[in-house]
Amino acid sequence: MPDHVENPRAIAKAEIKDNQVKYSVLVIGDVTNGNSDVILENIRGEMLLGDSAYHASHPFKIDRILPFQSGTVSMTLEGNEKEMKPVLDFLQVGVDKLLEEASGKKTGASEMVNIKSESITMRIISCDKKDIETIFKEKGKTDEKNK
Amino acid sequence: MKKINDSKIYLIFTIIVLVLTVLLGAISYYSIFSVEPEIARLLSSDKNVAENYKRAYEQLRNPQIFARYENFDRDAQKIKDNLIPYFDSKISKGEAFTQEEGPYLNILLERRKQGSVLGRNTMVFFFLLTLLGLGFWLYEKKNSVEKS
Repeated sequence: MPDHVENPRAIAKAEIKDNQVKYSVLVIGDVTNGNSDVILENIRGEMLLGDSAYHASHPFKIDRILPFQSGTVSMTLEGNEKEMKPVLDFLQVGVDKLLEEASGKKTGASEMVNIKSESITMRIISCDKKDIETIFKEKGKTDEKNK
Repeated sequence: MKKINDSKIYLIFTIIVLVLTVLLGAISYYSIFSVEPEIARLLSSDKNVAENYKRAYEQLRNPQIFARYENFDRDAQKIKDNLIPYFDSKISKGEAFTQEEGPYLNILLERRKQGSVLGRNTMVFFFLLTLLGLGFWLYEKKNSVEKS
């Protein structure tokens, strides 16, 4: 069963709308099925970001992950500067830099941040497991119906 | 000094390695004589390519015990990262196999063959250990008979 998030990264950006600055952080990671012959289905879990100083959590759901493949989990955090300062400080993203990009003074994409793997964890609440051979039987039955 | 009779140890050792020899032989030769020829026949067939390739992949998806896809070796890495996800997704979506995918299925067949060859070679090693154990056991028995 997957027990950690791989390749965690975050995209932070600022948007100016109606003279107000709105910050958003999209946290993305991959959940890999390392089993060679088990399909994971209806995966429900919780993604946890942070450490002793800051933490945020978000539920996720992945329909199916085939063997040796990955599913993507994500969490979006939004708010004004006061609400978002803890997470931006945690990710070591400069507010000034985001404001510069938002106001168009500095061109470039939103800031992509790599997250330390120990700062993001996950736990699986429920998951169905199926043997890989079931996909052959499912399709076999479908083929028979279609004949 | 009293001579220690090790014949019992040699006998137990011989039986254990003989059992392993038989097990390894059964697993390897079942693959060599039954499974691999069937898969090769399916992959070399010109008719009903989609159906035959699918049946071949269904058998290949259950790897030989010494060539499991999660094993950490250089060849397994490419199969694990590319071929297995590609073909599993294909089956999952109900897409048909094509002639062009034959060489990639043959890569999986080659891996299976490598696994059964490894099993067979390991069987030979354990067979030689069986002969060694048997030789020591007979020698020990002969010595203990002569002494008594």
